[in-house]
Amino acid sequence: MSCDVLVVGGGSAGIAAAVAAARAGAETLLVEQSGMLGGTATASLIHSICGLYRIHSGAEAIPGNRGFALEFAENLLSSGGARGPLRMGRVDVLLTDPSAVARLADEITTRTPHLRVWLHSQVIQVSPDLAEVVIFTRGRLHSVQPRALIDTTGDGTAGALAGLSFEQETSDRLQRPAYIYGLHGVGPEALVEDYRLKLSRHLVDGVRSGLLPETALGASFRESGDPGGMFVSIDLPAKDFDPLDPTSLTALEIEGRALASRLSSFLKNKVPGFEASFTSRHPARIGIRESRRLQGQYRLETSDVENGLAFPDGIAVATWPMELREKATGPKLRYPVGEQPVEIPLRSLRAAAHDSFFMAGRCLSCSHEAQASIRVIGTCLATGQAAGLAAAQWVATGLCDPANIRSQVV
Amino acid sequence: MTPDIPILAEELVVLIRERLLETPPAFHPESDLYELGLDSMAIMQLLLLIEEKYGVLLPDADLTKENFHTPLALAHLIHRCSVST
Repeated sequence: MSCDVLVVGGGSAGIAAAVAAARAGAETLLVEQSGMLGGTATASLIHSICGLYRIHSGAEAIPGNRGFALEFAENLLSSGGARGPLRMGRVDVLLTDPSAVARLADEITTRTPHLRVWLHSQVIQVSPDLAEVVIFTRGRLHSVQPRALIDTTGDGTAGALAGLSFEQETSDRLQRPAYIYGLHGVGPEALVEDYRLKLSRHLVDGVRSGLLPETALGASFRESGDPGGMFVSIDLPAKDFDPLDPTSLTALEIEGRALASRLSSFLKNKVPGFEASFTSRHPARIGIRESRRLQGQYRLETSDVENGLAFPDGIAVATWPMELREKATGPKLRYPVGEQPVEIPLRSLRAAAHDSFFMAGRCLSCSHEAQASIRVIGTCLATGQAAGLAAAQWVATGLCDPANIRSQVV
Repeated sequence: MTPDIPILAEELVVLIRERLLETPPAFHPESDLYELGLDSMAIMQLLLLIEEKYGVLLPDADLTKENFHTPLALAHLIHRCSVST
C-alpha cells in the first residue's frame, strides 16, 4: 500500500505529527509497536508534561507553543486527565494521568480524517532510497510505500534502518533511565507535599542501615491525584548502560522491578502512612531519556539553547531548561541566560541526506545538552506537529514553508 | 566543631555547586535552591552529604521546605542541630 506520510512511533511527537499531517490533508499512517499510543507518557508512566510553559519568575504559567501542544494540554485538563500547572522554581509542569493520555490519544487520532493508526506494528526495514518500508505485525509483513517519512521513535530507529548518520553519547554521559511505578493504599498524611522531605529522611536511614540498596537514593515521589495513589520515579545509575542493547535493556527492566519491590516493602514495613500500601502498577517499559540523535540539516547546539537563539526557519520554541541527568542524584538544570526560549529550526527536523525524511521528538538533530532541553513531552508535541505539517507540505508542493508552520505551532 | 553560620553557608554554597546542582556564577548563600532544581531526590543526596560532612543528624521535624530553601537557611538548621546534639 502507499501513503503520503508515514509516521513511525506513536509517542507524543508521533501523535502530534500524524494528526498535523492528516489535518493538512495528507493520507497518513501512524505505526506504533505497543498496544497503546503515548510513548513514555503512557507506557513508562511519566505523569507530568514538561516544556509546555515558558521559563519565568512571574506568578501565572505562560504557554510556550500554542498549537497542538496547548490543544493537547487543554483537552487533558478539560477531561479531568490533568492537574495544574504546578510551579516548581522557575518552571511549570502539568501533572497528568497516563491512562487519560492514552484515551485522549485514541480519541484525537480516531476522529481525524485521513489518519490510520496501526498498533502492535513495528518498522523493521527502510530502503536506502526511502521508497519502501517493511512493517512487522505479529509475524506478518506489510510493505508500505510512503512519499514522506517521519521518525518519532525516540531512538531514531527508522533513520538507523535507512542508513542515516546519527550521534550517540557514551554510556557514562547518557541521561540516566527512569523506572516509574505506581503505589496505592497510601495514607492521606503521606500524600502532602512536606511529607516527601520526611520520606527522604526514611530512605537515607534505610540505605545507611542496609535495608535498602544505594540505588533507592534515586527515588522521588509524587501523589498521583487518585485516592491513596502515588507514583515513585527512580533514576537508575545504570552503569555501562546501552539503550539499544537487548541484554542491557532486559537487565534494567529486571533491576527496576526488583528495586521497586524492595522499596515498596520497606515503605510498607518501616514508614508511617504506608502500612496499607501496595504496588498497583508497573510500567510497560523503562523510561529512556536519550539514545540516537539523528543528523539533520542543522544541529541544534548547546550554546543556541543557552543564548535563546532565534532562527529564520524557527518552527517551535523549547521552553524547558537543559535538564541533565547524567547521574542518578537528581537533575542539574541549566537555564538559558535570559528568559527567551531557543527556537528549533526546521532544518533540525530534516535529515541531512534526504529531503523527504523528517524527525521530531527526542531524536531530532541536536547536541547532547540541547537534547536535555528538547526531549520533554511538551516540546515533543510541538516538534511533532511541525514535522507533520512540514511533511504534508513537502508531499503537496515539494517545498516547506517554515513561517507558515511556525504560525500554527507557536 | 561546626563553623559559624556565615562560614557554614559559604561551605554549603561550595558543596552544592560541586556535588549537587547546576549553579549560576552568581550563586550565593541566599539563592533559591528550588529554582535551581532541588527536588526530593536531590534533597536525599544533600542530607547524606551534610550529615557525613558535619556529623549531625537532621531530625524529621526540621525537614521542611523552608529549611532547604537557601544555603543560609540550611546553615541555620545545621548549626541548630549541632548545638543541640
